[in-house]
Amino acid sequence: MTITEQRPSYRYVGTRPVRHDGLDKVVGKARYAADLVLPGMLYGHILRSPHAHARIVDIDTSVAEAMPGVRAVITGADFPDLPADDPERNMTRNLMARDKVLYEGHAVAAVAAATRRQARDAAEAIEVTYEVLPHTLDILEAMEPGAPLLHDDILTTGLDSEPSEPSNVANRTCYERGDIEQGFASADVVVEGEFLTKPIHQGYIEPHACVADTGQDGKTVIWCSSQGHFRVRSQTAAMLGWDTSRIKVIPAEIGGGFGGKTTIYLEPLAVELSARAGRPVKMVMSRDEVFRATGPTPGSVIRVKLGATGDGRITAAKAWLAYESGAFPGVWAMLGCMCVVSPYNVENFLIEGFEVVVNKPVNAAYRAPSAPMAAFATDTLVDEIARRLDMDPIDLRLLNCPSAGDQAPYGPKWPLIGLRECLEAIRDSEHYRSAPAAGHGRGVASGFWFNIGEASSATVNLNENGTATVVTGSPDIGGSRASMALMAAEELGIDVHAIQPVVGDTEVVGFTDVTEGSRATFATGMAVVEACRDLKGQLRGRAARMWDCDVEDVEWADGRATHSGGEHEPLALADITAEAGRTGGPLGATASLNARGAGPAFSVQVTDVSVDDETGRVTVERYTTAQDAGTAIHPDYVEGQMQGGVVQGIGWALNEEYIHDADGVMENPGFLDYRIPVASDLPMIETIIVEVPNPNHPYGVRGVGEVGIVPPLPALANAIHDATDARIRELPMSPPRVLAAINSGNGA
Amino acid sequence: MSRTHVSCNINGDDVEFLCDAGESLLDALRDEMRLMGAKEGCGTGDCGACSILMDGRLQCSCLIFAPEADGAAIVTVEGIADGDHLHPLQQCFLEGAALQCGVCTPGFLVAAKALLDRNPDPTETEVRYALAGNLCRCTGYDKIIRSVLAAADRMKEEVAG
Amino acid sequence: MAQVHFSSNQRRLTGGVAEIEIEAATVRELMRKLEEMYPGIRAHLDQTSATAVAIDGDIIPDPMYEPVPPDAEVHLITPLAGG
Ligand code: FES
Ligand code: FES
Repeated sequence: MTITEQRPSYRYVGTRPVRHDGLDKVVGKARYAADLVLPGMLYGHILRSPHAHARIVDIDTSVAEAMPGVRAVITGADFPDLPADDPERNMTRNLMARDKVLYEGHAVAAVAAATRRQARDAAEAIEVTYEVLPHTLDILEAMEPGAPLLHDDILTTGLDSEPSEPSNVANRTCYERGDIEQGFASADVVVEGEFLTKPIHQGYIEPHACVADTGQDGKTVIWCSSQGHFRVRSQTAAMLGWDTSRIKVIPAEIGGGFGGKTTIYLEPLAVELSARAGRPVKMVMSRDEVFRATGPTPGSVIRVKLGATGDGRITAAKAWLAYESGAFPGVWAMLGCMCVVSPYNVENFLIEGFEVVVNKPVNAAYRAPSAPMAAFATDTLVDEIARRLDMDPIDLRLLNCPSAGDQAPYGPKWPLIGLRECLEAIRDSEHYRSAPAAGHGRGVASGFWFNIGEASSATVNLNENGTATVVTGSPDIGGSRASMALMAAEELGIDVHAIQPVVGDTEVVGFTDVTEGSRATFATGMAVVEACRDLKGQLRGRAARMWDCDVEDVEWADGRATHSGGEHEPLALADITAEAGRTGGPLGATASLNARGAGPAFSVQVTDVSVDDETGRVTVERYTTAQDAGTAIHPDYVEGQMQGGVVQGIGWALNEEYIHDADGVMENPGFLDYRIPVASDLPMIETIIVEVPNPNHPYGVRGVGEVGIVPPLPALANAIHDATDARIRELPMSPPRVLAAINSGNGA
Repeated sequence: MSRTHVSCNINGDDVEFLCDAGESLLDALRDEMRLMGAKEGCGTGDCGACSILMDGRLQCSCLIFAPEADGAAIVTVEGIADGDHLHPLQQCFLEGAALQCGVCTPGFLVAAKALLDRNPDPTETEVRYALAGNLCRCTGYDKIIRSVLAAADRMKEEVAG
Repeated sequence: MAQVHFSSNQRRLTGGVAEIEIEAATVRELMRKLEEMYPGIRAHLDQTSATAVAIDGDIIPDPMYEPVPPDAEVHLITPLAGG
């Protein structure tokens, strides 16, 4: 279902054509990075730390180097040591440890050999002498003075006075407005709680993979699975100390990313191994390596206190957030602070966040990073307020709903946003209007995410037969090629399948930032539209030459040039391209831009669950999500993003967690024990696309990729409470935890 | 190390290859036969990305030793279409937008074919359980399930028609 | 005149001032003027990763040359990361 505010009607935008890259993907022909085979290719394998924290005393590679098939062995010492203030320094030290290993799974050395088995055997034959150091795995413990230190140069920023001693707390962020004492004093109800979440993994089905072929001319070509090949190029260059012009990166099809493929893990190692061996090198991670050494999103401890008046107006919020960023600091706590009360207008608040390093894998972005944990806390407490006041939870949210011009908690005023429309869409949905089945509990929640603009480039070439090729630099991680083609079709007025959308490598298309922050259809789409508009100007010029008239007399509409005086028969695009050679040469246009005005995204969701009170197992019986897409360019893939985000959120809420033993060794590095949702766990995910067009995009697009993962955590917690009276404040809400909560009579 | 000789039928073609005794059938398909349709998502039998049919039975090719395929008839995603004519499942996956990144798609198509071959008229619940061994992280399964049900309908019409 | 708003972290550098008006055509000029008024504020912004600005609600990750419209509302914030 789609609920649309007023907008122009379109011919192609908003339709559901079969995606252009679909056929290759259903016949098994699509080329992912692990599918590439080059002549003479070697296989790389990484040796990883068995310890959570240890000093590297010595690495002896001599035995490994002499083993059969081995062509190259590298360690951290083979890469330049970047200066302390280099922004990529931590990335390089994550890819290959120097001096210390900081988590179990941290890469220590790598081997290239003729076969996979030879590479693995040789890596295992590398002798590393470690001096094991005390480690810290728990956020709160890591924050304590005297905790084992991961780095001796982290001095907490953002404190009232500069600290003199290093710690594991990288920074403190604070957002403050109004007078919270007074805010709580004017409240009739005050609710508060501490909420705990574990690190979880993005869980893309395709493990990281790349092939690098370094030539004797000192240049290299990389095929890889990434959300942004231009970033692969710059990060690889930084780690190798190379000029970027020596590196060409060709994007393979990508088998899921969700933020986890916005940074690199393998590429510089493969390039260096290939340079030393003089042969192409392929590196493919095992699932075990993916879990131990890439990705997770932070675990968190979040304490929130909310006050509200008797009629449901939220008067004050106090939030304390600590996010564990793994072995190197990130920006996760800051982002959490910016999101924690954003779906609400609150006059008085104090939000304080801490970024904490622990001996676990370095975190990467994951879909609306840091927002879901924050929403888990806030939206659970908002539900408690609704219960205390005996108010409908949607009405309570509508009462406190921000709209354009209100000041967002993180500072700026909200632009045009669609939160109210999403709340109303859920309130008016058939799901919400029908009572939950007997024994089922119902929960609702809302979520916010910023969305990002950034740099994008596009080249559109018109072919002589009247078709068009659209080249962009945005890897297609969920149907974005089809969206690009739809926007180009709308602009040029030709059929969407007369357009061939292509993801270009770093040498054929202009710089384009990573496909992240829900930006591809928004920002790269803007570049495509701009290039098409340039082309329409050129087409009018060519028509004028063919008619020997003034270009002012030529109009372009519906894919044809028409003469304003009606003196000539209209010319279709193909008529003009057929003559292009005689009217000035081929027709093509390029646009590069920094997209501004990515409209914030909101989602509101409702779910019904049943809880087995003997096992504690939660079954999601029904789920409906409403999300503001601005304009849905290809509604199938908008729905797909919404459904995928919800189901990832369901996994996070109910099953998924990193489990480490006391030594800091991950105990569940496989899909058997790290259980992501499967088809039989789920109902259909009903979608309501809300369209409040973004005024900053030619078609009103807002990013849709991320926000869907935010509400499921609190929505399910609220539904479980409704079903059982147990208020669970720790994720995952797995059967043992739910059962314990029911049995302890943990009502709220 | 001496290599093991295997002869089998893959997607209708009689083939022979050499493999290591401990090599998985998935690796043999990909490395020896260069059939890249089956994917490795886990290598431990937990994701279904490597699904194939072996003598008509759905299997995780990452869990089978390549020499076990000797004498067997194997179908991979590359063998599902009838020449240029897509299988109704493939057609319905395309029309129903049942794939986002597409890396799980070969496994789902093979597993869904196994289901429809033995149960041409499954309920939604039957489809969900039949595909519970296949992980998809992108779609939330909704459009996959709908597409399998649509394919079943289309195949029934074709039979009836 | 642009209105520049300071977060509570940043107010330590501004002597508690939460909001000021500055005449500046670009973010670079604005930063130069801020540094004159509050020596050390730029280092503080770098250190706390507040290297982006929001101009009238639009978050710009790498803003030095960005024009500042008259009467713009400016916040100095962290650039976003996304999935
Ligand atoms: S690769 Fe065989 S089940 Fe995952
Ligand atoms: S479509 Fe990406 S895993 Fe299924």
